[in-house]
Amino acid sequence: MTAWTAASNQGPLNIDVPNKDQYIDGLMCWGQNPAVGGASADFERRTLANLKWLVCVDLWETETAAFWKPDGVGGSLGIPGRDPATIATEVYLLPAAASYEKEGSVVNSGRWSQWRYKALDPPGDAVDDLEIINRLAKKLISLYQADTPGYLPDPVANLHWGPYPGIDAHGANGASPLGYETAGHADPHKVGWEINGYFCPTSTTGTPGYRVDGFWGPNAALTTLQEDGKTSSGNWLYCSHYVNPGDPINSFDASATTPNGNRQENRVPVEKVRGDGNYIGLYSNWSICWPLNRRIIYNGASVYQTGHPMVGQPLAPHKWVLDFGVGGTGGTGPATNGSDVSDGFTAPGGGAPRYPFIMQTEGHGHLFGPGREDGPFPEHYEPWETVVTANPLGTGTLTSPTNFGHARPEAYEHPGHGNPDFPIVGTTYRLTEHWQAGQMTRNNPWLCQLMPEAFVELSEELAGLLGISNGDTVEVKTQRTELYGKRMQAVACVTRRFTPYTINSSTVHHIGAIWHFGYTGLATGHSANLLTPHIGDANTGIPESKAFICNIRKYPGGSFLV
Amino acid sequence: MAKKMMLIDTSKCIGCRSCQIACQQWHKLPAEDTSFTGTYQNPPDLSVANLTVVKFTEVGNNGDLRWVFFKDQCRHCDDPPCKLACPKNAIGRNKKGFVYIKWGKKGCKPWRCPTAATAADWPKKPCQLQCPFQTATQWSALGMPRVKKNDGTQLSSKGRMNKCDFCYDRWTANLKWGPNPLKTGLYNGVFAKSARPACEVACPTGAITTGGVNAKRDEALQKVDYLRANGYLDANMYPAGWPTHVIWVLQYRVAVYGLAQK
Repeated sequence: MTAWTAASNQGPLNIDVPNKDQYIDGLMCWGQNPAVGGASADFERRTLANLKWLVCVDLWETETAAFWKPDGVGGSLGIPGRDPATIATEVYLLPAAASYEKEGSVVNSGRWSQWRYKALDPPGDAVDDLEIINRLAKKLISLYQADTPGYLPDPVANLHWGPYPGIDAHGANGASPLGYETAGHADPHKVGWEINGYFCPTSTTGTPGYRVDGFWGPNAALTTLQEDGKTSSGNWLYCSHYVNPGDPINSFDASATTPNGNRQENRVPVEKVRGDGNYIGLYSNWSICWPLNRRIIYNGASVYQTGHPMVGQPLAPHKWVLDFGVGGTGGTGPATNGSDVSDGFTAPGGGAPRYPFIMQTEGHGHLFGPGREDGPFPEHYEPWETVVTANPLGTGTLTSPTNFGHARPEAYEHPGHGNPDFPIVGTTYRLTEHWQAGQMTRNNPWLCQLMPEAFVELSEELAGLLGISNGDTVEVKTQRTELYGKRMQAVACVTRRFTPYTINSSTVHHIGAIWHFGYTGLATGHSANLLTPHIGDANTGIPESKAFICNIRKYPGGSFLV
Repeated sequence: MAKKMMLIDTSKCIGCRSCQIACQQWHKLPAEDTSFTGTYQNPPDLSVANLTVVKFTEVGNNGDLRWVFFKDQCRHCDDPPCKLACPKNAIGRNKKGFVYIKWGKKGCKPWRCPTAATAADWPKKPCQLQCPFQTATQWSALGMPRVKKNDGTQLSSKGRMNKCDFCYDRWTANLKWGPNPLKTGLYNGVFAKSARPACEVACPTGAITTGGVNAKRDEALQKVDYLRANGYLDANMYPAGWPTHVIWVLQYRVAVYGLAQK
C-alpha cells in the first residue's frame, strides 16, 4: 500500500533518490548531501548511479558529488565494489558562495526575516546560488521559447521572471527594468520586491509599480494586497517586508521611516514601547516578522474579555503584551497599547466577537483536536521498526498504517517486529561540533580536532555483555546493512549516560550513533544513516530515521547480542 | 591599572567548547591531529596548541548522573613561581595580574633551556617544574606551560613554551575592555572590539566572566552560597589557599573533577 502511494509520488522521500523505474533523469543538490544525510544512505548512494546527470551546488566536494570516484580498491567511493567506469551519471560541481559571501534574507524560527550583508567576495569562480538559478532559469526560458518540444512547455516559456518594472531603490517609478538583475548580476533586493508584492499596471487601488504593504491593516483599501487580481505577491506572509522607500518602519509604527523600504534591514536595538511602559523584549523594530510584524502569534489571548491585561498579579507588571482599551479596535488594527500587533480579539462592544485563536473555528485554544477518530489523545504507534510485537498502549495496530515508504521497498523493509537478530533499539543524532551532513564543519581543522571520528554510544551494561571497552571499534548492523553489505563501523563511547530500558518486564538495550560523517572532507567515517530505514510520516514524509532496531558487536571478532 | 580576575562558573558551563576554538583562533594556533578515544574531551590535555581544554567527567549513576565540565587552563598565580624559575626571564606578569610567556627576541627559547631529568620521555622545563598546579589534574603531571602537542611533537624545532596568557595582547591591539556583551545584550560589534579574553567573548552562557579582583571574588563566594543553599552542598571556590587571577566555582568537591589544590 505504501509502496504504491510512493511509486507515483516524487515528494520529499523520493525526489532525492531517483531510480531508473521512475521519471527522474537528473537531480540538483543545492547545499544538500543526501549521500550522508538521507535515510538508508547506502541505498541513496546506489540510486545516484541511475541518474543521467547530477548537479551539486556546494562549498566543498560533498559525498554526493564524489560518489562515483574510485575508492582505490576497485570500487567507487559511494558504491563499494562498483567499478566507476560503469557509472554513466554526468556529475557537475558548481562552486557556491558561503553565507558571508552573499547578500540576502534569512528567516529564523521566531519568524524574523533579517537582511544579511555581504562581507567579502566568494573565492575563485564561486557565485551565490541566486546568480546560478537566475542564469539557469533565463537559459531554460529562452530554450523553451525557441523550441517547445518539452512536456507541458507553457509554464516555462511564459514564466514571468522578475518583478514588474517598478520603483527602484531610490523611489523612481519605472526606473527598474524587468528581471532580477542589477548591473548584470542577480539582485536579492529585486527578489525581495517580488516576494513582497506590488500593484500591477491594471491596479485601481494603488499606483502601478509601487509595492503593497501587508494583507490587511489601517489603510487596508489603499496599500495592501487585494483580491482583485491586480496586485501580485510572491508570498502573502512576507507581504510588508519590502515596501517603498520612505514608508513607515513597520505597518503600524509611523514614528520612523525605512530609507529603502527594506524592513528586513530594520535595526533598532531597543524595545518599542507603547502605552505605560510595558517591556517584554519583542524588539519590534529589529528586522521584520511575518505576518505583519506580529512577534507573538495568537497574542489576543493575552487579554481578558474587557480588552485589558490584568496588570499586577497574576501577571508581572510591565510584562503585558496588548491592551485594547475600552471598545478597542483589536481584530482590525493594532491594539491601543502594547508592543505587538494584535492577532484576534475584539473587545465587548467593539463589534462582532473575535477570539484569539483565529485558525480554529471556535477561536479558542485546544488541548486536543475534537472530532478525531483517535479520541482526545492521538493513538500511540510504535516506530516502523520495533522490538515489541504488540502495541504496549492498547490493542490496536502496532505501527502507523499510514507510514510513507520509499518507492523501492528494499529501502525501508523491516526485518520483522521483535526480530531476535536485531534486539537493540538504535537512534542517531548530531553533535555541537558538526553541522548536518558535515561538509561545513568536517572541513574545519579546529572542529575536526574536537570531534575527529564517528562514534556509537552505548551503556556500560551492554558493553559489559559484549566485551566492548571504551574506545574500541564496534560494528552495527540493521536490515539495510545486511542488504547492502556495508555495516557501520565506528568508535565505541561507553557511557553512563546510556542505561537499558525495561520494556514489558524485559531489559532492552539501546545505542546512539552520530550521522555527520562520510568519505570526503578532513575528517571521515561511516554515517549512521547507513543504518536507518527510508520511511516517513504520511503527511509530509518527514523521515522516521530516529528509531530502528539493530545489533552491535566489537570489531573485529566480537559476537552480536543474542 | 586595577588587577583583573577571571571567574569560571562551572554550573553555567554546557561543555560546548567554544572557548577552546576561540582561544586557538585568537592565538592563531593549529589544530592537533586527534582521535576519538571514548570521551568528548578532545584534545586530551593542554598543549602548546591548546591553551584551554574542557575536561569532561561523568559522576554518579542512573537517576543521579551528572556530566560535569571543567575548563582547564593556567590559573595565573598572583605570585607566579614559573616567572621566578625561568632562567631567561622570559615569563612576564603585567599590572593586571596576567602571566604570559614572552615570544619576542628576548623571549622564551626552550631549546636553550636546562631541563630537569625527572621524566625521561618528556623532560620538564624549569617553569613546568615550579608550576604549583603541575599535579592538579588527573590527566597530566606537567605544569601549565607546554612546549609540545599531545602527540609529543612540537609546532616547530624552535617552538616556544605556551600557556594561557589571559589574551593580554588584545589590550595592545587597541581593543577596549568595554561592557560584557553577555550582560548588555548588545552583540552588535562588541565581539570584535572587546579586549576581554577570547574565551569569555565566545562563551554562550556567560560561564566565563572577567572583572575586578574583589568584585569577582565576591561574586564567586555569593554563587557558592547560592549553590549550597540550592542543593549543591559541596560547592566551593577553586583554587583555595593560593591567590590566583583565574578562579572557578565548582558545584562538587574538587576530586570529582580530578583536581587537587596546590
